[in-house]
Amino acid sequence: MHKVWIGVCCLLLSFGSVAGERIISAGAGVTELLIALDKQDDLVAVDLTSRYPAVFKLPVVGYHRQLSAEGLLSLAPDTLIGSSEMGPQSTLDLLSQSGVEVMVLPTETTTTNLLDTITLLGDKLDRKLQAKQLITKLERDINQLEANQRKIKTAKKMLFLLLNDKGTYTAAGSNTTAHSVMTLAGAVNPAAELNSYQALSAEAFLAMAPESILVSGRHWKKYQDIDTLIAAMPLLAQTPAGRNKAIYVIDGSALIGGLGLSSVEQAKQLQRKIYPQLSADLD
Amino acid sequence: MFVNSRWPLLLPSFILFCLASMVVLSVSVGPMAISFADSIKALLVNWVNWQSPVSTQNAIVVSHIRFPRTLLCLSIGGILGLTGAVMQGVFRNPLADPGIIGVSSGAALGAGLGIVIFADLMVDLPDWLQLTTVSFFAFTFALAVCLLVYKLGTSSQGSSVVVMLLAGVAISAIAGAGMGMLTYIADDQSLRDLSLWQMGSMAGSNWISITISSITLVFLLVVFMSSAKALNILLLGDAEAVHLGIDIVRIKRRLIFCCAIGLGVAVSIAGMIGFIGLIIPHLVRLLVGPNHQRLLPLSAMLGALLLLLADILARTVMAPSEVPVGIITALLGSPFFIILLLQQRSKLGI
Repeated sequence: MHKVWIGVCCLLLSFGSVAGERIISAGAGVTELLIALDKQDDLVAVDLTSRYPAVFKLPVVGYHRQLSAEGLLSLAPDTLIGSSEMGPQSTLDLLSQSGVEVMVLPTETTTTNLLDTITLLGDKLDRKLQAKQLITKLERDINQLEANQRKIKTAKKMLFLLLNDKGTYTAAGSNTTAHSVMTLAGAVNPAAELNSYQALSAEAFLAMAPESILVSGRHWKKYQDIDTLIAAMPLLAQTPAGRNKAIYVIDGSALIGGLGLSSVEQAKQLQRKIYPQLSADLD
Repeated sequence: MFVNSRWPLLLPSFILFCLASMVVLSVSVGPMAISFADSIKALLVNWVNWQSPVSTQNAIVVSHIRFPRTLLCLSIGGILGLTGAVMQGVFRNPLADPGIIGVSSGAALGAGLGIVIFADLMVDLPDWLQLTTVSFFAFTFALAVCLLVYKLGTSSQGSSVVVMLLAGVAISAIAGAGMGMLTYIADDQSLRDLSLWQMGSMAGSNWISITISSITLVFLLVVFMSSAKALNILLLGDAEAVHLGIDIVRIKRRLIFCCAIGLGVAVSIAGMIGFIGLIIPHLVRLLVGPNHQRLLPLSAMLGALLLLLADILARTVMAPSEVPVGIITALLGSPFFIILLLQQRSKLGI
């Protein structure tokens, strides 16, 4: 009798594991979306940049541009999902040859791209309902943010600074998630002419005259208050942001891996802080 | 103590045996749990078209991933060990590694340009060209540095190895500055690619790179073995070599040039893999003494052995991710070398 029960249990357990797809996610943004679409139970491994609590126990397949073909195959995946930055191509080719479905998602720091990606993932992974709910919520958030943007008469000049020990003024230019978050929140990035993250000369930094400064939470931990930061970066005192002590902190993980769900959330919080009069229009 | 005069082939045969076992190990070990028998079968299926019940996936892993990497490790490790031995002989300097004349730095600068600046421009090219962009740039720059050093070292008054060496140091400095500039302007993505490239990897193995590196290895072996006697005489000193009838300027130039070519090939295919070229020749000297006729082939074999072992570890220790192989060669080679050094200080024949 015992043996029968054990047999039945084994059968049920094996059904459980067969039913799920085995997915490897290579890219922080992708992992975030998969978790939001309630697919984290099907994930078998993630890449180095996907360090979310929900997937903390999963094996790590290394950096998403240096994936090892055999390493991935040893996890017996059905699907590999990653951004267009995923690579090298030889690994992706070998995986396709061995029957693994390789899904390459576009990476742009725009909201349209984010919505398209969610639809695509929802269709592919049989999570249409969840995808739809997620999109409805995101669209509402984005619409509110954009409606508020139109109400702003004079937009605030905001600069995202990467703080480091050397005291250089490294700002986020266009094509960065930080830029997209600031723009969504209704701020103007005076460093928008620059591409990606670039170190500014002292004069260029002063000429930008930012009215507020955005920093990553991870870097902020070291300084904790504005006076310490100004002591480390004395030029800051000469900008409107330094004089008004207008320094905002953003969760740094929302800036990794393209514009994602948490980036939109951060944009909302940021808008609340810099334009308190508009916060009533946000959920 | 390791050279047995009655059986001079004992040590080479032993190393050859180790190498053969390491090849078998390399083909049968990896993050995928494929049994030893299955890996051998998968390899045979590919070679002799023998039908056997090996799954396609296992066959792909063994014949498209493990086997090409193994071959590439053999040839690249061989080139690195060999060029290291020759460079130390030519410069009579125990610290000379193949990179000393600036070829590695030149190749690194080329690869850096390929990664940071040309990666964006190359998107429209066909796939196979994109894959080779970085290697192509690395090799072109290695070759350019090679010719430049050669040119700088040669004047109407003849040719000077010291000038070549110093020119190499200067070119390394220039390439270093160029790398610094590239690092400065690179975006996050290419910065990471750049630093990973500098740690070396055997993951880029394909049949083109295997063919090129194997031909280079054979070519170098032929050239260097024919100069082995001259290298031995060079150990006595330049003046002594001249008196013994060796055209030292010509032979040194030829050897340095060949080393540079070999290193250019190795670096452009596998990135920067340190320590093999520096340590392996010393190791072999400790084992068999400074005779280049034995030193050169054994350096090539031991170089291949170390790189193969390092690559097996690189693939497996952190599976499913991969550790850059350059880190492992340094970690593996250096302590072993220190132990040998302490044991046999007096035998270091240089």
